[in-house]
Amino acid sequence: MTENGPVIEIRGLTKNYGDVVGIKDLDLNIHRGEIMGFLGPNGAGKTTTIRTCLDLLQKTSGEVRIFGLDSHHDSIEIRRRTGYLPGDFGMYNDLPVRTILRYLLSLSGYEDDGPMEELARRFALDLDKRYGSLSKGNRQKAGIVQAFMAGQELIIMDEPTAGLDPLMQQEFYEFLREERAEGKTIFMSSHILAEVEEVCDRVAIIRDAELQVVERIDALKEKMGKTLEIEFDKEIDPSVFDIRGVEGLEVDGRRARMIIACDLDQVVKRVSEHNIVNMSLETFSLDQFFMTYYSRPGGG
Amino acid sequence: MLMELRTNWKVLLTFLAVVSFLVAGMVAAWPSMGTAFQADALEGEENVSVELEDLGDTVKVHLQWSPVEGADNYTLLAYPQPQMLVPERAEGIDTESAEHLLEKDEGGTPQMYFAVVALVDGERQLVGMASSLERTSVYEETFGVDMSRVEGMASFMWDLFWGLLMMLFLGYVAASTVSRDFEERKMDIILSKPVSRRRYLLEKFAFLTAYTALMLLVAGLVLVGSMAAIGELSEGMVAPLLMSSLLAFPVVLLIMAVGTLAAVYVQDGRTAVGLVFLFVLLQVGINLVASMAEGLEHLSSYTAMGYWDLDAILFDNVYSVGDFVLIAAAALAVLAVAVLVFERRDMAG
Repeated sequence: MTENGPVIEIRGLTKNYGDVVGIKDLDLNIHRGEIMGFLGPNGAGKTTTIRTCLDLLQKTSGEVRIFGLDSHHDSIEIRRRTGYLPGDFGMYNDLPVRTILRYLLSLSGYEDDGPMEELARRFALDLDKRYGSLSKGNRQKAGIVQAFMAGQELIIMDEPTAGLDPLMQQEFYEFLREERAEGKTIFMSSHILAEVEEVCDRVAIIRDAELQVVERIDALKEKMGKTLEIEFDKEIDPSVFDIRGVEGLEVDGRRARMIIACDLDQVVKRVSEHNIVNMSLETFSLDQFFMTYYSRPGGG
Repeated sequence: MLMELRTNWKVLLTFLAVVSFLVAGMVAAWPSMGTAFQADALEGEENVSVELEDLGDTVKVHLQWSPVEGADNYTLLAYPQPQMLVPERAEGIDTESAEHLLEKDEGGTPQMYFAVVALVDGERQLVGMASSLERTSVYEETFGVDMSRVEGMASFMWDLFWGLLMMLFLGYVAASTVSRDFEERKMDIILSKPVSRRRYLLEKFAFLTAYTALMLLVAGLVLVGSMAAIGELSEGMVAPLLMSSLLAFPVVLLIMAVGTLAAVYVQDGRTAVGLVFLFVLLQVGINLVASMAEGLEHLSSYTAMGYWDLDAILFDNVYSVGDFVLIAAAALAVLAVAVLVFERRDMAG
């Protein structure tokens, strides 16, 4: 791979489970040294995408390249260089966490357990306890430690903060920022907006197996702050708003409500052909923006 | 593999203890049970001796009996069953011997029972009974092994008791060792490490092979040891007894390969265990039918267990290396299919 190329390159990825569509024609690039958030409601296809990248699922069509390598044929080499935290995982219940983690470390072909001990201290995880006796939060910490302990350059995580208390979540976000500073690439799914907003550089939003938008968080914050509501003197044809950058359009007779993701000028010029009774423009939070993606008809 | 042992050693030790206890227990009980498996003695059989002379299509039975004091003459009765010895009779025999001609049937010499009766002072008195063939007990007729001999006991135990128990247990271990990684959600983490699915499965199978070897070794040693303890172990029996255990090895490997295949295919413990149990019990069923129903003996050659010929090894000390290799090859073939299936399937998540 070229050093400047994307670490993860997904082209037209489709995964079907029989007749059920898991993900459909997904395109996504994740670059070196960034934290990419993968946001979407439950069942949207986040886990399917991640597990296909790691060759745990066989793709139906499309291409996934990681470090420039084919996700299926070069899977072992990819996994040598990638840490993974599954969304739903278990370990050997009867064994102490240290024993399990050392075993997993050896599977990675990695001998030094120094980073493992250090991570466990940082996240206050008792390595001497049996895995089966751990609380949900502590099991999650064990999962986090195993994903990062071999110091790989790419970390893929499926809802990493599930079960962590708020303080530990903050500690984890801080840790992620440090990892990014060291040049690590992080791809993490989440259904918590605040988490993505806090720690990610970019976000990809998926809904109903299809990618909706990929955008920088700060750009989103800048661009997405406007919702426009217009009342006309008679019923309005929704096709009037067929403008690139108009999102979440709702037309109810004479009223239209939309999110403006483009230059406002374009919209105003278009609607000026009709008689406007009332018009309001309000800024809104990122939260509202995501909700429009989540709650559109057919949304899960 | 070490990880497997660390998570399975309690089950392994428990099962080894159970098998050892059963083997030693049954062997210890044999001296008092063995005689019960002998054929009932014929009345006065010690007084009548039988010799057979092969004449081609017929067999001449020479009977000779000890003289009875004051006997005027003797009567010889014959019938294919030991009861109601009336239909064929030769009366007024003056000597202490007689001959009887038997037509051979498809099984060779037919079973025929004889009774010699003496006439003493006008009264009939039984001298003794005899049979053209060595008699088999009811148990031997049912199970096909002579359990009045200690080898028969060993064969019986292997076949119907703890051999079956062990196959079911090891089938269960094989099916559950892989499917547990799915059910306990370990598979995603393990396979996210740079470990190929082939290596994962072959390491599991290496563990299962070691597990089996240990179990068969213990079973064989306990069998030999407990027979020695009851004083029934002759020097020539050690090798056949250990070999009877070793010959189960490829059969168990095949069962475990089937368990592994079931586990990677259905990725669910209960179904996989159900499938491997079905495989074992189907073989037992077929072999049972083959051993009991006349004309269906060939059916057992379609099952792996049919090649585990315990009577041949225990009674005659013969075994077939070819069969051993054949079943082991079948086990490896099933394992290869399991690897192919595993490499191509989505991992349940």
